[in-house]
Amino acid sequence: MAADGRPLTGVAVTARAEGGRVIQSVDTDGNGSFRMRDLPGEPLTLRFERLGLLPAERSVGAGDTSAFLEVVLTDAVLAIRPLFVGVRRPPPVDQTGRGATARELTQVQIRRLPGLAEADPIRAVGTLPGVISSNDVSAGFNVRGGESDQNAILLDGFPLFSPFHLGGILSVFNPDLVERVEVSTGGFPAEFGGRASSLVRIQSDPGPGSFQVDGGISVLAARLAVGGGWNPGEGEPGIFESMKWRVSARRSYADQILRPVAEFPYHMGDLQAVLVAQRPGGSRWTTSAYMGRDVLDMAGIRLEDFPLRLHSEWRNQMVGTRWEGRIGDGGSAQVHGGLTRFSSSLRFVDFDDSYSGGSIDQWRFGGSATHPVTPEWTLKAGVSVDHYRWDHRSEMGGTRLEGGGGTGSAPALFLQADGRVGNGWRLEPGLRLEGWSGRGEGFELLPAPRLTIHRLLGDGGEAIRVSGGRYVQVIHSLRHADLPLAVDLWIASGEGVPRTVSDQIQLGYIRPFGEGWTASGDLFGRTFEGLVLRNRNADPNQGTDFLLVGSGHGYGADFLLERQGPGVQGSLALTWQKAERSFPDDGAFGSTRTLIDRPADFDRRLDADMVLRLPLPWGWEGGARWHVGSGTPYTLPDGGYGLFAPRQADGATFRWQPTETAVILGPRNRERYPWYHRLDLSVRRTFSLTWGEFTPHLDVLNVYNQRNVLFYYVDYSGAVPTRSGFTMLPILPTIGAEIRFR
Amino acid sequence: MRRSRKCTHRAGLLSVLILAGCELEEVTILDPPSTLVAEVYLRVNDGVPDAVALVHRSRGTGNSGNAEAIVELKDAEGRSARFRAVDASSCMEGAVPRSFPLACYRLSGKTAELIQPGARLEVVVTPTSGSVLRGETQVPGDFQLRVPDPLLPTCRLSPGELLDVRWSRARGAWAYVPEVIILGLKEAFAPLGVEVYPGPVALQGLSVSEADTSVVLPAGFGVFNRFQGDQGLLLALRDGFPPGGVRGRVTVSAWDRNAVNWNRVGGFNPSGAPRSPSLWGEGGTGVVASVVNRSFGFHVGSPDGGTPCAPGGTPGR
Repeated sequence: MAADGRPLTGVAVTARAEGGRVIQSVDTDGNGSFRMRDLPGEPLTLRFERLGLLPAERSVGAGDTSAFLEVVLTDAVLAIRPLFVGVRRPPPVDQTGRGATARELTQVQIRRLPGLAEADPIRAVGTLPGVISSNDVSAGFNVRGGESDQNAILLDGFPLFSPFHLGGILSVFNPDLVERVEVSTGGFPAEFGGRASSLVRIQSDPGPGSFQVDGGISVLAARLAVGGGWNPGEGEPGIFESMKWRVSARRSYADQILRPVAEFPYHMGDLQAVLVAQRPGGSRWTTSAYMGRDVLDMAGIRLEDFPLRLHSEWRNQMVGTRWEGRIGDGGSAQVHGGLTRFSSSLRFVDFDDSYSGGSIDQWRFGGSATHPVTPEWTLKAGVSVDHYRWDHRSEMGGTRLEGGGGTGSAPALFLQADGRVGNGWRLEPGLRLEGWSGRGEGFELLPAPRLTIHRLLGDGGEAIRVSGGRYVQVIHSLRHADLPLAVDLWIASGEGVPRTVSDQIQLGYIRPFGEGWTASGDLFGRTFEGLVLRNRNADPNQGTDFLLVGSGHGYGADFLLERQGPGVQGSLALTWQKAERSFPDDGAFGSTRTLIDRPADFDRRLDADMVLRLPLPWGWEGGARWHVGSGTPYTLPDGGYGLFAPRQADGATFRWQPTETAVILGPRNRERYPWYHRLDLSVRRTFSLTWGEFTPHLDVLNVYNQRNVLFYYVDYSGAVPTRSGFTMLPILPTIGAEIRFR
Repeated sequence: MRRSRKCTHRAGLLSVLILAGCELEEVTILDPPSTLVAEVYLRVNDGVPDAVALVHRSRGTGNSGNAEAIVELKDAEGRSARFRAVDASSCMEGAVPRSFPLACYRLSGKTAELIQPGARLEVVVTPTSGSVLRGETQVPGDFQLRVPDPLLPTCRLSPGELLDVRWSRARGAWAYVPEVIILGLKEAFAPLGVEVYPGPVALQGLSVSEADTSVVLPAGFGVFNRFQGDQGLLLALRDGFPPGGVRGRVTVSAWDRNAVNWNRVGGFNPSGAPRSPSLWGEGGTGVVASVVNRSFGFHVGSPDGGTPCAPGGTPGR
């Protein structure tokens, strides 16, 4: 019983013989009583234990065939080591019926997808429905008719502008430090703004909190991740109850290995870190940082057909921190702040009067509070401010070819409700007020309402969902759309540069069935206003003429069939879409410019992605991806002619340029490349060794060496015109290994 | 389609980045219909108007050997002037394969007086067969040299001097393309070990927009040659001209929008340079451009050898 005489239930009573041997163990019942039968005839010690009470012991003699004991247990103050209690958010594909629109990729899924040298979270996004990857040489992607610069790629809530290495071939995210990736291809709530098309949220993995070393090597780079934690013992109270941290570094090494025999002009490296600190009372600080750099340095290389020695760099840098904690009765709040920056530059070693590059900074501050207002409804309200500073310029021979810059701020308020109405209905109305004050403009306010309605159909997870909303974006990438590979250049809205406004609607259906199977589908439609394109005939006397402003739309359907669970897992994603653009004719001038409708550059009408993860004999794991897509559009010349350079001095003459041809372009994006298809396979196995784990992996891209066309070119200089071109990746086997030290 | 098994690793940035992309084997495609290409430049050269029109054809079937046309200039008041045919070789600098169908036309003297700074003019090109091409241009406004003094017929540069050539704005110009023709470079650079092809050296500079009215002589010239094999000469010229009898002539040329758009090659197409035409019509393309020129001569010499182009010129690097 307790000290106040209450009977204690659930007290563990253990009978031990001499030497500590346990004879029998029972719990007290609701009256605080217990009974032990068939005890041996030897002296016993009975121990009474329950959490929160001081334990007690009683001895029972050898001749006691029946004994009545009254034991009083007193309260004990227990000091326990702090614990992290983390609750995983339910995966997006739950009974809310989001289906093909919102997906989650775990680290395991990302690693088991065949990859180009390294596991790549962003390339894995390309396997999802509604996501179009235009070619093998760029990890950039387009979602449901949107431009690639309309994808918000957030690392722990903070954006990275151009998170790609190698000009877009590989994303910057080190797979060792990625816990999971959540992708929303539409219908994201009012909390999220800034980008119009999709939301990719990458969550860093701070590790278990104990010292841990992971490493890996691929044909491209070597990487190392070190993690640890800090847990103060009893009697060591501090500002933080505990901490977990992890830092990873990665660098390509071809330049170092080849240095004795050849100059390899490229290297890249990145550093990523996360620190999670738990405060007394349950609040938590998460601080993340990333810095990455790509360098293409051809200062020591002279190419016969390109004598200019160039040095190019592009960098991503980000640091951000977030506090999350409880407020009131059942509510929560978070505040965050951080800075992200992207910069790129191109210089010519021999000519210091030539430069091309730019940079953009984005400061982000915000906070939100969530609180239940009734048992059925929860309200979330928040505020955010994004401040941008950008500049770009291109100079050659003492003249500025292009340039600009400025600052702007985008404050926003949002209110998001989430409630259950009646039986099986769920509503998520929201409103976001998007403000903008940019270069050359006054303050503008644009409401961006959002609404999502879910209807559960029965208890088995079958549901439909309809959502719609307006999405606003103030920044644009000036990436050269004609080039398959290029470095981004970012600007924000201002005089002559509009905000992109996209109105979107989608209708989804999801139905789980069988053992781990889920089928889902979405119909979607989107409009885009305020799209921009470089004006190749820009009037240099009008600073606002360097962009053409257009519009676009996309509509289509996504379908996803997925199997999770033991054994073979995988998914089949099908997308049918049509994405079109309408821009002024850049061959005409001013008011004479007529609008020209054309397919978007990434307009792949049909796209199918099948991904399998399957166990193989002897502990090996297999992965496969088969990607099939209809051809993307391109512009074929209608003819070619000799190029003559005019000379204005003296007698006004022309000089024939024998190595160059001018082309008469046909309508933009009139033609389409052949169908694209590619099979990738991978195998991997984890060996447990005394010092840790060793996981070698073999990836083979384009197993049957399909010659997918990257681009065509037509040669008009010969006796007959000929067409040739370049393929995307040929068959490409790569090996690598991951190491985890105990 | 025949397909190649070869996997060519092309030099250059693109191929470095696309890893191991393979080249597709050439396949013959249908010859497109040949179209007329007319390049018409109206010029006011140090106050004297003239014009030149180069007419050629895109490669393809039909009329492929015929580039003849009637080229006419018209103004808003209905006055017109017809270009006269001249020997095509007189319009060309350097050799052109005989297989090229070329025709050249010029306008000069009194018939060219429609061409005046600021004038809005129409050009009509009527081929012997096929439809008419039409286009308009507005001649840039006149301008004057500021440095060197426009009253100097020729001026002197010191060896190693960098001259900041300056001029007034030409109203409506989209760019200035200064050209320099330099004589005596081969001999002057020979002692310094810089290799120069014999004969005059022609280099172009660039000043973008009506407001950018300066260029540095000679460091700012040759920007379009940097992508070719003249690097040694261009690097040497960044330190100014060498001593030893170098002389030349600079022509600052104010270009209208049509000239800029035709020549700046906006956009990228792997098949060749896409150009923005200003002559329109079925079965043809081309440009009707207008330029206004101001020029001066110079020589490189010692301080007692003539009037300096600019008092206190900047020494080279």
